[in-house]
Amino acid sequence: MADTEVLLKIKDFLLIFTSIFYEALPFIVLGALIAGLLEEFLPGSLLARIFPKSAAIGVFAGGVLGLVFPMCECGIIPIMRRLLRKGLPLSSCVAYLLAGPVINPIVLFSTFMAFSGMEDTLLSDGRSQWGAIPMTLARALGAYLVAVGTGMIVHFRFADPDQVLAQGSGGKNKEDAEVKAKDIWSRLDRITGVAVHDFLDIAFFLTLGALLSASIRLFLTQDEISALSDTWPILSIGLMMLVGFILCLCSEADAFVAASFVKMIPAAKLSFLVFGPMMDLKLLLMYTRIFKPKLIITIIAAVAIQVFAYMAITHLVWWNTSTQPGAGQSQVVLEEKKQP
Amino acid sequence: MAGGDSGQVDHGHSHEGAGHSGHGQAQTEILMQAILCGCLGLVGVFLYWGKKVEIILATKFHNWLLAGSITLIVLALARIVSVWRLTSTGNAIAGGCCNHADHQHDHESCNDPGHQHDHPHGAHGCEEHGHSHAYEPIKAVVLMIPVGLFLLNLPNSSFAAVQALDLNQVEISSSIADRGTENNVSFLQLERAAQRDEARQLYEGKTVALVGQFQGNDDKKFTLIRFKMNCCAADAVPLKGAMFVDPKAPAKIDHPRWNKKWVKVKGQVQFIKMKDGTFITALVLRPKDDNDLNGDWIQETIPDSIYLQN
Repeated sequence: MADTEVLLKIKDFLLIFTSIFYEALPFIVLGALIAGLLEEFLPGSLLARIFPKSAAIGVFAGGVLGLVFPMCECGIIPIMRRLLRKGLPLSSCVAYLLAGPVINPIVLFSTFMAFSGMEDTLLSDGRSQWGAIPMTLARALGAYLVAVGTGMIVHFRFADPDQVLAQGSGGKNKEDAEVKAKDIWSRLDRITGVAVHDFLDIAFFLTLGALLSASIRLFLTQDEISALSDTWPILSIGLMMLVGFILCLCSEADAFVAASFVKMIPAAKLSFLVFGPMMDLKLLLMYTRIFKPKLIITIIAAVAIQVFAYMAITHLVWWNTSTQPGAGQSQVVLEEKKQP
Repeated sequence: MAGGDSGQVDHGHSHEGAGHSGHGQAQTEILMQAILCGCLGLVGVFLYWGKKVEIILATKFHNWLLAGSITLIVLALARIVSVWRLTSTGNAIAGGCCNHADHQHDHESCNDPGHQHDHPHGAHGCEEHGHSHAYEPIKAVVLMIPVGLFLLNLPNSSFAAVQALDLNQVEISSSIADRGTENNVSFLQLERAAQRDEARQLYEGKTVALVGQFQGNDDKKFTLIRFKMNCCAADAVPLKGAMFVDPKAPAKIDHPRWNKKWVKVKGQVQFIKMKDGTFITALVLRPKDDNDLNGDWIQETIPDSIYLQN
């Protein structure tokens, strides 16, 4: 009986691993291909001309670069690495890397859809959940502020970016494509060389991250997550950040998972939605291909602290503005949870 | 083309005799990389072709996987062709991260007095900047895991280790009025309805049919399980319905026959409040006898799709 249970768990582990891997695969291929094309056709001088000269404005612009290059958190990594090599400032790249997976039209739309109608669900004290519009806006704003804040921290903390970039990511490869006049075969060689290299490099860490995530998922089910957040509602913000880190969900899908936690306070769900696409197990491993540990630690700390602070403020806003009992709405009393 | 600040771009010299492997080894490495990409691409295509992708991904991602896999195969072929074309004409090959194609000359022919090499030759190049271009077996082994699993026909089914509802402390109400039959009500609709008072009132008392997997070993109750998925199996959430045979009915469930199988269950909707305050969907089956229960109220079926999708 125990053997059968272990076997079933292993089957589920393989299912989760393969699903994470194959869901991310096409986007990493796309990202690697774009990286190859950027490497060959995007002159570093052009990027320097069109991108803001001021570091601060560059960070703010990096935060909305996802609207121009809308990519998920996996596909964004090879693109960002090539943009770095083309001379885009590190701080802007970090802002793009962190905000891009959230601030893009597809993810914002899926967030809106996932929380549609949620405002009709009330907690035991009569306070209403946030619906589609506040959740979508709060997620986008949170991701932008945290990404820009982290970009700024990186800018001021690391004067020489080459000191904190993993080799192969920096190096100021600003040799313009047009300088290297080549025939079509040489160009194809360079594009495919970069694309294949970047794909394998990132896919290796995707595989490791997916294996790790699937392993942890064996011991952490949706029911257990719900139970944990019920037990410590005040800590649910931090808990959901941890859950986002472990689950390694695609930013397009995570809103639907968050919406399924109907008893959870909005700030806890938002912490999952903002922190997860910025920092999860597979991303952490992928980041090691771009950044040195010093920079990774700085990013993790900056993101974690800012997300927690933002969610604490969000919770206060929700607490003071949410619908009170007896406001004329029908109530779905879901639990006897006490709010702070 | 100075050797430069990082020592990784435009080194300005050939690989031979400078600590790098020769072109023969470089070609082998490139071939291995291309084969790896091609294998992963082929697996993606076969997953799509054999419809196994339905087990792991939501429908909206099937075409993405196919397109990504085909791109990967084309990329691998293009890589092999371009390298073959360049080596046959005596040109240098790009190595990916380091742009070794920029090494257009070797040291012996380097007469440019302004050409600075500020990195040690003994260990220069890619090794110097933190990684080797030598064939990396560990990477290949890790990346072959998905290929190996595919060859082993794994995974070959949806979630297997799902806990059934604890129905021992759960009691159904006998006072729910019959409100007729409602066709085309899905598990998802009832799951959403369970969270809202008005919606619960809308469905309660109606007779509906749900499709899911049978789980249980009791002759009067069992759990019906169906997963809802948004993007992939990793985000799938189990929907669990409590199925009860009317205590007044003499019929018993033939649970060894149904356990773990896909079944269509007909019953009257009730929403039961659990200990933690949440409501679960329940169906009450009212058969005349065993045959009626295990043939009409519970029927084996093949679902349109393993997962319900938003």
